[in-house]
Amino acid sequence: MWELVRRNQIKSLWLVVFMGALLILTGWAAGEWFAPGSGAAGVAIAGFLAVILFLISYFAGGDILLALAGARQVEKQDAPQLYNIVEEMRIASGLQAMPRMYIMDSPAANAFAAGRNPEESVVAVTEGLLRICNREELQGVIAHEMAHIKHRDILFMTLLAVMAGAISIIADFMSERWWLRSRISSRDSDDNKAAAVVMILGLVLIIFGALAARLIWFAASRTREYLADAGAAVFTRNPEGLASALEKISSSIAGHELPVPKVAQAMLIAGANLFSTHPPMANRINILRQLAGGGQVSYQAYAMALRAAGGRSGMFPAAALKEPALPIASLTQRERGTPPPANLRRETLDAARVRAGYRMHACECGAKIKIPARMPPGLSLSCPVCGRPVRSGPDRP
Amino acid sequence: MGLWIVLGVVVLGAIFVIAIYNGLVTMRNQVKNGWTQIDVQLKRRYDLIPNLLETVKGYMKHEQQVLENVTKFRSQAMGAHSAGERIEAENQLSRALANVMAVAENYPELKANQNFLALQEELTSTENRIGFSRQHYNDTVMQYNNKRQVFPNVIIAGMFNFGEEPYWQITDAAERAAPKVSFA
Repeated sequence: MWELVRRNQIKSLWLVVFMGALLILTGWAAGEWFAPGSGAAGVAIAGFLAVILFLISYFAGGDILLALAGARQVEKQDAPQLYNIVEEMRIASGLQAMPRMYIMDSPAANAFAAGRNPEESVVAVTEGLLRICNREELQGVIAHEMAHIKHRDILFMTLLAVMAGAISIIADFMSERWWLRSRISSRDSDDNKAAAVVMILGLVLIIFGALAARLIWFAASRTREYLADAGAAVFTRNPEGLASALEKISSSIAGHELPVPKVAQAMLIAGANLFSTHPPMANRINILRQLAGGGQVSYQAYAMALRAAGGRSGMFPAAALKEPALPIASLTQRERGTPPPANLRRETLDAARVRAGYRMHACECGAKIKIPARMPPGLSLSCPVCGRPVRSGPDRP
Repeated sequence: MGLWIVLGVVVLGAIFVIAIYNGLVTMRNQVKNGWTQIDVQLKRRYDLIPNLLETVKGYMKHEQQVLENVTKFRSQAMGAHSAGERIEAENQLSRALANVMAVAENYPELKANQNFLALQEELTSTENRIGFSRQHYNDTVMQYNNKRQVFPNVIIAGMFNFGEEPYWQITDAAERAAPKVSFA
């Protein structure tokens, strides 16, 4: 695992260096475009932009994201089961520090991790996610977020997103103000030919740079998602938990879109744009299911399943593939998934439903039927458990 | 010239040995840390038990044996003299607790008790935490043992007394075949 984390960081470093080179090139080209000979100034401006963006996201990124998503911090006593699951996954991943927990006030099912380093991290889940997932599934989702923290993905993804962001800001700026150049350059037309060559080159560079930056960012993000899925499978020894959670998230009626900027979508367990920063959900579910069927979990087994599903595992660090294969929840003889005591969460959610206008109907068979406020009264329904008739209107004693 | 080459080889060799030695020390410390993590969770379980028994006692009047088992194995585990004895007692305690939870299924009033529900979640989580810390410990032990067995690490491990670390195994066949117990 240590080897994996280290190699992952080296890989990250290379990507960041490459992205930095792209940023410098784009800055230079933009400078040359506006006024021949001022490429260095362009580089300086691009660098400055990236540094400012990075400082903001480094020191306040997590808080901004949490604020945008409408998250509030919860303690152990507010959400005992969530706390327990986070603690369990902290132990399974071998992390030392407990992340802070946040719940987002949204019916959409989603989750993300944020923070600078493993010592100071944040895990946030939506109310919608808590509502639809059972204990085992929630474990899978939290394990995925823990894997992001453990793999040091958060800082890296922030850095990459910021640089890609700076490049596209420059490119957007250029495409809106291309006419500026002609005015400036018309003043000095001494070496127009050389300038024209540089100009064309610069234009190509900017277009290419912005595109490349975006592609690298997307590809890196997708790889990290797969890697975090693999990590979740290894931590929980139970790929089915996450698979089933992803299935529920992708088919959730409330959806999984959160009001956070596009740059931050890469941080979510389920991104808004399935074709960019996140691999297709169906693919991720398939791979996890295949892993569950194989009876063994390891990064290597995951990479094989990924290749079988038509994905590329080339960006997996080689060290990850050398990690030993572990049988699903039995090498350590951990008693497999104690069935979820749903009671606690159910109570919290029932209280929330009553607040939202649901009407609780106690059926004679013992089932509790939750009737949404918007359902017109007078409809005749039947109890999903025993089939006894239930009226959607107000209860009459 | 020849002296310099010899010196260079010696220095390189020393750096190599130091690197391997340090790697082994780091891994061994992780193993120790892993053991501590298990210990923390086992202690947590000891602390939960009196509370649980207090809550359950009033309802389970006819299940004295089941409750006594928990008390018995708890004190056995706490007073164990060797690691082997402790592991055995802890495993027995796991089973005794699972038994309490299984029996609790027959007491609907108990299942409606808020205090009991909260304890049930705590206990489930504690069992999970013990499981996960054991899993993490065993993974770390496996990596450490692998590392100290490969060449050339095995020579250095031998020189500096890096012994094989034991896995936390559940030896009891009955436990492996234990039926799934519903905690819900």
